[in-house]
Amino acid sequence: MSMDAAPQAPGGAVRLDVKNDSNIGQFLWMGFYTGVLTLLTLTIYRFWARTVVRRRLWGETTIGEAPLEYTGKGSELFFGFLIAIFTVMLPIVGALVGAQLLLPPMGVLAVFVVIYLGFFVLIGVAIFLARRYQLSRTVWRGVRFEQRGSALGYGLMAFGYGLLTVLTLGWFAPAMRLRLEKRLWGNAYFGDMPFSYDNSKEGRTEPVYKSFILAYLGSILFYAVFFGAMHALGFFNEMTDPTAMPDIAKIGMLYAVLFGGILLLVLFVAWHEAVMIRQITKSISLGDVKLSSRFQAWDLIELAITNTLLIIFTLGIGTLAAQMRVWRRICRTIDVEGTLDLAQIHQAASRGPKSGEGMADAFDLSGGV
Amino acid sequence: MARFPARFHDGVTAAEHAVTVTVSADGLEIAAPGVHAFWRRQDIERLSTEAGVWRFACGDARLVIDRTPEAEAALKGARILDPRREAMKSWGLIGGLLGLSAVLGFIVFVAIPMAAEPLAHATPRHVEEQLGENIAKQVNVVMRPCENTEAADAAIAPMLEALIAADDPGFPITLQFVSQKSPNALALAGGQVMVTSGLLDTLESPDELAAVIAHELGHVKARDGMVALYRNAGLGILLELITGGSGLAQQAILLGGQVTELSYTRRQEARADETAVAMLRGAGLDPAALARAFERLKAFSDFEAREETKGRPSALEQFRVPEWLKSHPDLEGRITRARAQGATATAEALSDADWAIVKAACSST
Repeated sequence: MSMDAAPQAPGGAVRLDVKNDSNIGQFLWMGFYTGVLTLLTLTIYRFWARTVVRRRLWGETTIGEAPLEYTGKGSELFFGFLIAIFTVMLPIVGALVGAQLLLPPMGVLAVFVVIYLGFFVLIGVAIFLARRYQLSRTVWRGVRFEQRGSALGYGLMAFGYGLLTVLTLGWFAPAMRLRLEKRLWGNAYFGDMPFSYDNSKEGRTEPVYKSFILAYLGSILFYAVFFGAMHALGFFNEMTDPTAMPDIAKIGMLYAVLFGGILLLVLFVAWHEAVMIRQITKSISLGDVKLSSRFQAWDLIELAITNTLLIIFTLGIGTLAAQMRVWRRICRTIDVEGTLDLAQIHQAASRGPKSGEGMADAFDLSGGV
Repeated sequence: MARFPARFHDGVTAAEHAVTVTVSADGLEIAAPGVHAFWRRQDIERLSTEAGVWRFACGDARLVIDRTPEAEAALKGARILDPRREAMKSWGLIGGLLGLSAVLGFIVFVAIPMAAEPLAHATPRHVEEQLGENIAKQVNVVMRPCENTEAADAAIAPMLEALIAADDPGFPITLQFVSQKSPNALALAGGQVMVTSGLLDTLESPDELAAVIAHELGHVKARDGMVALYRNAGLGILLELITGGSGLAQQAILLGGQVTELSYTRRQEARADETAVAMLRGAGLDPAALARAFERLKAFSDFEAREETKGRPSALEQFRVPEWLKSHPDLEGRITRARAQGATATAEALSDADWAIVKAACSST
């Protein structure tokens, strides 16, 4: 046992504490140089930038003292993006332009409606495909993760639940989120070993809906404050006269209200977000290994405030560092119980897609890391 | 041959094996009871930098070696650790991407604009007409058409016909009065011409209006709206690459290019002026009216700019200058040239009664 860094229980079972020791200075520096290169290359470098960042973030996250490893390549993301542009985006744009050239206004409207409904399905598809790519490029102890299941199925599911959420004025949102997580984690594998996700009534021990009431009220308050401010500043009057000139002072004030409103919203939403993080984490298990999280509302509030300051005072360069701090906090609040017999876990059957995340990038869903 | 202990994942299971690694010129030999593997040097990839250890990959298998001076000397000797090659690889990538973006920049900013004019002229006229109609509808979302303009349309028709008769712009002309305070006139693709209510308020004689319309007809004749569509397509492609390609950026750029005329070059403006002078002359009107119209608009924009800057940020100044003038560089030179073409008018642009009707085209909205 002298060589093994991970403390091993009898029979090769390993304790799987999750740790992350990423360093803010490193991420600030990465934010700076990847930003410069992204600008210099007319943003083409962004695919490689994302890869560099993930390599570091994965590599500095250890499970049972063995780091995760990101094996994706910038070129895979770049080609994935080009493929999505040519197979999805150009046909859509072509259909829109063609409709405008050939069809009467009602026909154009019909084409728009169909395409935009399709868009919502495609957003789910894109999220699923990005996830499949990321898991297939995540390796731990030489074994890949894998996301199985149907991308279209996930897209349709997300679309249907999205409709339901609209029809229930938002009240289905927490259930939608948990069900979609189940769909993803219930089809996720480490090597040949399936994750499982418990979304049963007994498993939902966190106050999901109780906390949602506060978040819901907070959102209503937020919109009320925001539209109230727009009204008070006379923005609705100006909308009726599109040639009226925007007043910079008024726009500044509206942004101040928006900023204050978002900070206020964080206070209302923090409890629910923390509850959801804990609920989702504790629903996930791999064999005998059960996860749980100590993430609290206060973690989120503190991160929101400090990250906002970090981003403002670094003029945006600190965005990566801010995202890392969220991930680091999530890792540091995860508890792991139970052990795995790693010798019994075999390599994943599939190597995953050859290129990645094209559509997610095309829809701008990746949000940085 | 150097030997040292290491940790090994065979890529078949997630188990970890304590192994002994032997470094040779050809690669690494990995051995332990029940484990044996040979990694050829060219198949070995070094993974991310990490304090304390080196991580290597060969296919799915992974090897973790503790950092010691002896191990470093052996691995560098066998060129399994090769910092220079790694540095060259990353600089090669950056150089390649910079080169790629230079090519992209050339295509977008040089090649596509150069091809825009031939492409525009190769586009069938009926396609341009249809496109112009659709663009006009979209522009009308922001610049709404004035209502109940039948009388003004009828009043201005003879003047429009006289200009067209003097020099056929090659497209059926649709002239639309739109509601917008800033004085402006635009020519979209396919013969769609718009005159703003602000322009009607600003101009003081019908021959000035005739001159402005003649200038726009000059753009129609040269198919400048279509040229702008193609020229902006390159910029649109670039924005798609940057923003992710939802097609919205492309649409915004195309529309923006039509409305602001920002993409009209000096040469296109000069040519539109020449056409305008010829049309005015052919219709028996005084071409110097073009100079007067320019001066009127210039005075307006100077006045507006002064008003706007009173106790306000000067950046706002930019907003009030009509697009029509912003995109017309070398205005003084154009005024001088148009004035030099001055001639005695032999016809009336509009009767006083018709001019009053046209002036009031947008007053019912």
